[in-house]
Amino acid sequence: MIALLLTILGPLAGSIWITAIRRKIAYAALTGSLVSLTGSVLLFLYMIEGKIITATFAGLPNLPFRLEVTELSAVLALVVSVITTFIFIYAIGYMAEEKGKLRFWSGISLFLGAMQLLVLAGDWILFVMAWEIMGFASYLLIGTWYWKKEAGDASTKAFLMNRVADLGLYVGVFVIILTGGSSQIAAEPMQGISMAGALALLLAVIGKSAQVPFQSWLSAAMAGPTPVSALLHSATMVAAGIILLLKAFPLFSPEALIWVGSVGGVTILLTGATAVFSEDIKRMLAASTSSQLGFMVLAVGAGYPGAAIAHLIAHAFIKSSLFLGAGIFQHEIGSTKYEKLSGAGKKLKLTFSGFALAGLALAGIPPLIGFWSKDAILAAGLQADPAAWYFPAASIGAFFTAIYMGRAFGILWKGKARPDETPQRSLPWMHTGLLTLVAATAVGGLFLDPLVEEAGFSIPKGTLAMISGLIVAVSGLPIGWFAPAPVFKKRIWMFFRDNYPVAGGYNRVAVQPMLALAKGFNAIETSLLQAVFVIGTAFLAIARWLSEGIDRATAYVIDWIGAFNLKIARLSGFTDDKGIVEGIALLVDSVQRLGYYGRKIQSGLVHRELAWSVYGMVFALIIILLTYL
Amino acid sequence: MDFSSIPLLTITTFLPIAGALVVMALRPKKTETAYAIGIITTALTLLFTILIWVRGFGPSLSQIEEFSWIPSIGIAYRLGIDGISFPLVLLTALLFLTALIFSTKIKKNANTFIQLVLMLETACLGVFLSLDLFLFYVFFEITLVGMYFVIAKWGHEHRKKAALTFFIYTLVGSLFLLLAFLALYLFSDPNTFDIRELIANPTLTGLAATLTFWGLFIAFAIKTPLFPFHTWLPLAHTEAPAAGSAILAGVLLKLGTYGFIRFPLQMTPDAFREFAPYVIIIAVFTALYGAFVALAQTDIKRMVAYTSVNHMGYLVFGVAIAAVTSTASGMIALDGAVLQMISHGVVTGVLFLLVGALQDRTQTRDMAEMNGLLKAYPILGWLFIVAAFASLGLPGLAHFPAEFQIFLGGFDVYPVAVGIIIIGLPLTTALYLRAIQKVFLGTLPEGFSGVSDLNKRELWAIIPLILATVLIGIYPDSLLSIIHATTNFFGL
Repeated sequence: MIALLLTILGPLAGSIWITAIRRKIAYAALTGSLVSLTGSVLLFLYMIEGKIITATFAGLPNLPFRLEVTELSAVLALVVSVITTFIFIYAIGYMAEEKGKLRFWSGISLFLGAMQLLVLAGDWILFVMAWEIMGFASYLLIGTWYWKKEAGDASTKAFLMNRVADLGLYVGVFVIILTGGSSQIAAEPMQGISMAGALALLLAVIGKSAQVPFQSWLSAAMAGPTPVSALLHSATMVAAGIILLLKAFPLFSPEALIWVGSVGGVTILLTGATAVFSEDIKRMLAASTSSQLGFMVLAVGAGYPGAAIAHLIAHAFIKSSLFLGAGIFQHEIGSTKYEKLSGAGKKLKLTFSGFALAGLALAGIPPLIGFWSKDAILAAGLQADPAAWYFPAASIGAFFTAIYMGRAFGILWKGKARPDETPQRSLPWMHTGLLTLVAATAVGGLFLDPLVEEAGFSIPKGTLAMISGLIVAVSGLPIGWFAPAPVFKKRIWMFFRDNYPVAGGYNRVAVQPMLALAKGFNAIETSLLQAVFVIGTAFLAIARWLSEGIDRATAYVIDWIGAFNLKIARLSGFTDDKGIVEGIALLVDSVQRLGYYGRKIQSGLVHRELAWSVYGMVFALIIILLTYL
Repeated sequence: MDFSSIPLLTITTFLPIAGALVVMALRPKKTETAYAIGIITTALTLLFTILIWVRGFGPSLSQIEEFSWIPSIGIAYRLGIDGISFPLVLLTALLFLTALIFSTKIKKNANTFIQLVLMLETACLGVFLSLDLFLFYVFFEITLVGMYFVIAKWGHEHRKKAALTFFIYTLVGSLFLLLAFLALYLFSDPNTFDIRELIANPTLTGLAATLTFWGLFIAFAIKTPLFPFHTWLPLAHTEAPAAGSAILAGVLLKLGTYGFIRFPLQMTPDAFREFAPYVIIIAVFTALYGAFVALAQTDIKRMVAYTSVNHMGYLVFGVAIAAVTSTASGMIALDGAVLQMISHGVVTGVLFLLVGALQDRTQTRDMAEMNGLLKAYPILGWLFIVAAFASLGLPGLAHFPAEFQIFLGGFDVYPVAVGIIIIGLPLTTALYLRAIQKVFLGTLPEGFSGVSDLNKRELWAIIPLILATVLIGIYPDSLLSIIHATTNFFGL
């Protein structure tokens, strides 16, 4: 229980410290992540011992919040905290000279806490909460340099696109709760969910894991600092979509899984091609992330979550290494464009070797970690029953992977090294983070199998898968290496490169129609308001006319009475009775004065009438008080 | 200590007006003294509200305080509280306290302002606590008068027009309310104004029930407001002073939504069930309409005002779901709707205060004229971001548990309607992100020189509301346990 809370609350406490106390911020964040690491190691050990840890908290009525350490969640929590800790170490160096440290560190700590909450959530409502809080944290992180226009645009786009896809999560969770009568995440649920519910969940996965057609937010998210990208693309954020699939896997019907697998397959191919044609190292890595996540989605769709877990873990280590490497290049060269980076590898040999090792792992070269996990995916594709095209899709995807990694190596190495500049003094921190993670990708292959076994799943294997995986990797790398590195000018390549801006892309398809609709509604609203004022003014005019009419009529009557009285008076004048005349004159005068006062009260000013009603109310209140006290 | 004999509800209700009388009697020369009296009074009111909580109340209407008043026609002074009204009373006490703290910068006719605000607080508390139709009506009307003056005297440029529109609109609503109340009275047997009696034996049937229901509906739809009766809202909210807008959105709108739950849902349940599909259509449309129109605004205060329309759409949707079904889903939706009142009160209250603080600094509400202000006002900016994300329904903040329950309950009965209404979520997301991007992100204009960030006065008003937002978000059970006990008791 304490370990559970440490894992989640450690980074959150760090985040609060950073926001409130504002001292030693980087070390506070690192401490938070170390606390989380300790907690998750403990959880992992408990899990191996076979202890079951759950905790229930007051949530919504009859739907309590629940944390649960399952075999899967213990393994994932460990992976998340290990990777995050090394990214934090790297970030101490990376952020040393950058602006916006406070926002960065508090945001990234919140982010880690939310991710751990998501992994350990034992009920769907808590899962939704963690899911969205992580989205919020990513919004803050991508917008770390908020004064830059592209940072503001990117963070807005990322959060908004995710939010649209999150509707799927809401609907899916509604379906789950209403079908099962409970919000608990069950390993063996009583009954599955409907097709509609499954597709809704799939929409959420597509959004979070940057699958087609929601892939474009991920490359825009590059506007944030590199450690943020390393984190978003590896063990967190995009991984959340896969974790959702894993947790919901028992609820899916075979028919629904075909949809899942298809989304994965399409994404592998399309975003893999984008990565091949990229002209920017970070954009290449971003497209590659979508593609690699597609492998996992495909594996789940094929019915082999074990393969997805293996690739999730392997990819998390590999991709974070690649990003950290790319970040060092960016820091030293000042750009992420391929044309600028040409030859940078020769200058930064240590960084380049780390980057290359991780890249080879991603391409699937044995004995690196990526070989084993890619193998598992290919085997899953082969053994999958319903759809025969999973294996070809995965193989082509693996081929693309080898090409785009080979191309990156070639560009980084082949060009002329630029004249040396003074290296940054914060490089040691960055290298520590990078090299540790690279080391993990190098030897991690040995531990992958037992780790997935611990998580309660098995990795599919097959000789054919292994051989074909090797063939595409070995053939793809040289193609990429020798491929020219031109700037792609042809329309068709640009279409690939720019992530398929169908019909003008996100801005045209989503933003502009929405704003147009808003304008339309606003026009209705404006005319409605005007109509109300016209009616209101008309009524006021009628009221004024009426009240004036009444006033005039009253005045007329009063005058008439006055005149009548005068007549009487005149008449009575004949009687020579002065007393009566004076009396009547007085009466006339007072009636006229009454009319005057009456008119004054009915002044037509709402103010004064209101004042009268206030007096009335106060009077009523006094009566209330007097009656009881 | 035994405080079962102390009339806590009466004391809570009339404490603010007692404070107003003190101000009236002393006529303090210094505005500080006047505000001190006002703030102490509202703080005491909050304290008494908490005492009510400590004393405890059951799921049904309890802590009854009853005295006969006009016995010949069955009017009595009756107060009582349950799990629906208590959270609202708490919200009222909290919002008036913070609004008054925020207002201490108002120096013009401060004494009158404080008296009006305090009178308004008594009226609002009275509405939520009354168990008598007549008493309810009296308090309901007084709120109208109080708010009218706050807008008309201390508002912005078009205040007169705004105040008049607000007044006339809600007055028309009151007319329908009066007619409906008379119908409730005349058709009850024996004739009574006692709300408990009317809830226990809803006697209205047939055409009378239908007419009464629609009378109540129009009255509360104007107050809430629902499309197409919402047109008074943008003007009134935009033109009122910041604290006035906070109270208007935070508390006064809840008079309408509270009315929906207390009257049509409980007194004409059959008619409500019959017409619920229409109400649901109106609510869904209102929610989306409010979101779209808000998205098109360039005036940040007006934008926040329109998000209220959106949130009230969700809320009434939840109430209508509760009217339609007597299963657990109805209860879930109603729990959500009641919590939504509190969440919206706190979150929109703080948003209006923040926008007010922003306007004080920039002298404009036009988003196109602001840019990069996060650099100039980091605290203001970050608090606005938190409040905005709360308003767009981020989990961990106040709106999420409420809206989640509304949609969850609704999905069981009308999945398609929920499918449509939740489009409001990305819309509100879009409009707030757009506002944040325009106003706070980006680069500060060269040579910008503005006054400093939030001062102590503003922080004292805003921080408690932000804390409440977070508390409701991560520990919704604090309020939901109370609310759920009562909705459970309704046994819909």
